[in-house]
Parts: sequence; C-alpha cells; structure tokens
Amino acid sequence: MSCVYSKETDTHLTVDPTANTVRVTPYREVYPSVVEPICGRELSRGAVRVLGELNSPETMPWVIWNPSLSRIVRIHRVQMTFSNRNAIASNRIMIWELHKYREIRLVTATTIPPPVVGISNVKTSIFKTSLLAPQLVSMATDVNVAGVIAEGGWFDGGVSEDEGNLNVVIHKFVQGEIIPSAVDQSVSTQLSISFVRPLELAWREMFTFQSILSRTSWRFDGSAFFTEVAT
Amino acid sequence: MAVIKSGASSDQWTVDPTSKAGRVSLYDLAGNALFPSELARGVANVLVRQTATTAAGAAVWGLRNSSATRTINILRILFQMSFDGTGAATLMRYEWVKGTGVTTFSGGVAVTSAILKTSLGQGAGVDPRVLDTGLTTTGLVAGGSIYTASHGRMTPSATVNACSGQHILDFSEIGMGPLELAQNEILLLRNGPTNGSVIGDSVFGAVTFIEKLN
Repeated sequence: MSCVYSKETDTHLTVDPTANTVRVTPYREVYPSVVEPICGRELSRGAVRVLGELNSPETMPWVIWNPSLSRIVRIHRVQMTFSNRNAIASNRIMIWELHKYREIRLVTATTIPPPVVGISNVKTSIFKTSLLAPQLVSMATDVNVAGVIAEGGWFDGGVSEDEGNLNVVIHKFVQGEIIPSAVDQSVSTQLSISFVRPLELAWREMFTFQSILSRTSWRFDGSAFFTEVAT
Repeated sequence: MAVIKSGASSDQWTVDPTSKAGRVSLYDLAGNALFPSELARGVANVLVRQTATTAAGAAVWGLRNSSATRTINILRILFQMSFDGTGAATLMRYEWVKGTGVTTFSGGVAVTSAILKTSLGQGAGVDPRVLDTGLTTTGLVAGGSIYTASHGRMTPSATVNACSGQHILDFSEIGMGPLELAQNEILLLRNGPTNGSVIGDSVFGAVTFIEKLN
C-alpha cells in the first residue's frame, strides 16, 4: 500500500473514510501562467445594503471603495428597485448607472461637496460569521437610515478621466418617474446584474451607483453581494 | 500494483467497478467540502400579512438555527409584496437581516418546513416562526441589511395589480457561498428600517436551505 506524499509541502494525501474518496481542490490557470484555487480564498462574505432617498439632486449617492492593499473586493451581483416620492407630474425616466473608478483617495468629511448631504458609512451583513470582517468601505447619502455612523470620508473629487474610467458605463437601470398614488405603482420591479466572473476592486478602486441627472425624492433599495479575498 | 492509502488514517482509495473511475471529493482551499453531506433540505414558507399598524423594526418572520452541531446554509430567498388595505400614496418597505446571539426565539406560530428530500426528514436546527406584529428575539445583535425592497400601497381592483414582481436573493451563485447560520444565528424579515406597516401590507415568499454538520 502506498501513501501519496507531497515533498514540496511535506503533506500526505487524505482519503476520506465514509466514501473512500481522495480529496482534491480545483484550481484554474489565470494569466500570466499562475494558478489560483476556484474556491476557498475568501476572507469575508456578505452584502452591502443599497438604500437611499435623495434629499437634493445629486449624481453619486452610493459607493463601495476598497481601501485595503492586502485584499481584493469581488462584487458578484447588484440588485435593486427604484421608486419616486415626487408629487410633480413628469415624463422623465430615471437612468441609473454603474461605474468603476481607479485611484480614489479617501479624505475627511469636511471636503464633501455641497450637493452631497447625509453621507454615512453603510453597515454590512456578514454571511459567514467565522470569516473575517470586511474591510471595504461603503457610503450612501441617506439620512433616513437609522443606526449608521454619521461620519466618514468621501472621495476627494479626484475622479478624472486621467485617473478613472469616468465615461465607461458598466450597466444602466431605468424606471419611469411615476407619481405614487393609490392606483399607480411607483416602484420598479427588481433589476439586477450578475457578474459571471466577479467585478474586482483592487486597492483604491471604487464601484459606484450614480445618475447623470436626478431629482429630490428619488429612492433606491437593494444590495450588492461581495466577497473579499487576499491579494 | 499500488493501493492508495490515506496519510491521515487507514482508509484506502476506492475505484468504482463499473466506471473504473477513482472517487474524489471536492474541497476548497480552506478545507471545506464543496458539497457537504446534507442532513436536511427544505423550504420555509414566508406568509406575512399585517393585521395591525406595526412600528418599524418588528421581526415579522424569522428562521433561527437552534442546533450546536449543525450549520444551516441559506441558498435562496424568493419573495413578493402585496397590499389589500386602503390604498394610499405611500410605500411599504421590508428588509432581510442576519442576526447573532438569539438565545430565545418565541411568539407567533412555528412554520413547518417543506421537505425537499423525503429520506432526510426535518432539520434538527431549523426553527422558523411568524408573527406580523413582531416575534421575540432575545439577545439579538442584528447585522446590516441583506436587502431592502419597497412596494406602493395601491387599492387592488379589477384594473390594478397590487402585487410586486418577484424579488430573488440567490446566494448559491458561482464564486459566492451561501448565507450561513451557526447556532443562535437568525435570518429575519423586518418591516422598515424606518417605515412602519399598516393593515394589508403582505409578504409572500420561500427560503430554501440545507442543514449540514458544523
């Protein structure tokens, strides 16, 4: 009888007792000629709430930012609904966009530009308690959310076409601006984007949910599902 | 001819007689089996209708893990909202939350889960309950919202569909593991976070889970 032994790692192969199976871990090759395990690198797993109502017109009410040199944030899916509380007749369509930026430096809240109000750190939901806490930072401009930390930073306005992909839209969600009433539904159906391979945020990269033109009382509800892995 | 033997025990590798293939089990890098033995597989039905005005933050439905030896994996949540009260230009809003430290989970009625694989039977740790005015969750430390959703309170009629579309929270996607509940951890449906409920607000849904050893 032979035991299979790895000289490199000084480890014996294990046969599981019930089914007498050999344990194997699937890997895949990624450029440039390195391999990574398909599963099991995650350090954290969870969801970030995407929830807000605009208090004034603004263009970027929600972000996820990776401040960590040692971790990569993987976003697997974003899903949400949109609604409106404006009582003003309109034939507008809300257009919300998903973007990714690079080289975003976080600074203090004192530099928040005037239209952005109520900025808050968004609390995450941790799906597997035994893993580590996430290091990502998510912020939203929603003063209606209870229990959030009413302080934090904001990107320093340094998003430029030189530094980021300012004009690259990943995806758009659209919804009519319906006046809420007892006979008209002002809330959209669930809209989502799943990334078959996750959208990755390296150090100082930021994922945003934004609108070119928005109005007070536009609402959005939803989540972004993420994992964090070591670099 | 060599027989492959485990380096950790006396177990020997099996080659299946028909296929002539060696048996393997998939493990992730951390040593977790990717397809752990299921001890239960089921669906807990979500059926909530508000019968009274209820303040924001009430836990109207929950599924707690009461077992010290088993872990519950939540694979998917499906739900819709509807309204059968007096229509108004307002929105109901509900949120899903995971919490820890729930030593007592009581009130309302227990929900009997549907068993998806008959031979497995009911889970030992799965404990779903429902009460539209709020369950008791002693010791709860709530995490952030997993997901929130709103729905307009329209008067249902022959021309007005007062039901929402279906909301899908799928945790079993490739590359993203399930939402896990260890002992005294709980999945909760709450009204809010800032919106109270009125008579006629309703949520219909299904939570698919498996139970496995820790």
